[in-house]
Amino acid sequence: MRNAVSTEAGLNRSTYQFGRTSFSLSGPGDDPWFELLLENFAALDQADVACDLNIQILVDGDGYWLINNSVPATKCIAGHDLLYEVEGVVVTQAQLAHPELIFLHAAALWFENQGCLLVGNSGAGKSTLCWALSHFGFNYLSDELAPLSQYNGRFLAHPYRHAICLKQEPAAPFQLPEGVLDSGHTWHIPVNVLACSQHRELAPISRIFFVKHSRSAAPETTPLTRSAAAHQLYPHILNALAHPAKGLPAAIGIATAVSSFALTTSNDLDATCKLVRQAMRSASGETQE
Amino acid sequence: MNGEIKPMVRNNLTISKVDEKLLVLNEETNQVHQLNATAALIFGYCDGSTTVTEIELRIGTQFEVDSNIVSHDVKQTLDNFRANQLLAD
Repeated sequence: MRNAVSTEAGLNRSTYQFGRTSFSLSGPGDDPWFELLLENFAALDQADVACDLNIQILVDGDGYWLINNSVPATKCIAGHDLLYEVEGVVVTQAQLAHPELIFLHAAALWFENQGCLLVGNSGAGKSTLCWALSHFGFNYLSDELAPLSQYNGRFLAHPYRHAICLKQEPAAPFQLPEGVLDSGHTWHIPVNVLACSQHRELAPISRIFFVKHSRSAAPETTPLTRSAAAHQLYPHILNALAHPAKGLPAAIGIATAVSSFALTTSNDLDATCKLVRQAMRSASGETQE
Repeated sequence: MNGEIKPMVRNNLTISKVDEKLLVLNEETNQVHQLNATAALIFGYCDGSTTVTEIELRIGTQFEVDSNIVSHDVKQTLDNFRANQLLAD
């Protein structure tokens, strides 16, 4: 479903709501890179016509100018960078609108009334695993960005239902479905073609998996201590400096409230997914299946 | 390393004890370091008034380990602290 609210002089304008953040995208309706933007955000709720953030995309030869609340960007960007740039602007606006939230670089999923986070460095395989887990009864909350709030000693993930972005094509049996957008560099799986449902509510998090990829080893999970989890989590807090004591207590708080595991994934995604599912069902962290 | 040097931790560190480990956030580098129990003990002695030799003696007394091993471990730990900018110049 597209959030198109107006079309004027060949410009398509759509509005979106993400928590208290409302933003609009305006651009040439027939442009494939602008189309990718719209598909990326299509599952977000529609915002009121008046938005806090208005992003306009202008075509300039082979490149694009991004105009952020009437302020032009300093450089013209290539089409395949457009989505990355716009996501950055939206996430920055969200951090300004929600200074109380902890923004984690993570994917978030919902499974049998529990939330989980996939945390790891870029290229570790968070998004690929997120996509694969959507075939194992995990419902989708977000990819790349997991905003967390704290309530009564628990940490709740806020949904950010944009397309899952993969840097490489997943192996069988997790081939990409029809409707996936190919940017030439990345593949974007719109929410409406996911194999699972979207989770639209705040999700209490019970597990964090620190994802690390290994080509040869069998997948493995290892429970982490609180200090190890906090140590690993801290670098993935995007807005750590906005929190007291530079965010270290926030990292420790999350590590204390949530069970954490080091997850070594392998090329056998199916086995990795089964291991994660088992860890979600396990109260003790024992993950043999 | 000169045994008379009196190492001192930087003053812009955020420190939290979690279980038996010490988490140290260096605001300069924006990195968190996880110190095990022994490293945390050495870190605690880096107060600007205790020499490296005194630190080695104290650690040696607490752990009853050969003094050469203690000396090596303390110096290596202090080198790591310095490499990670946890000590004042």
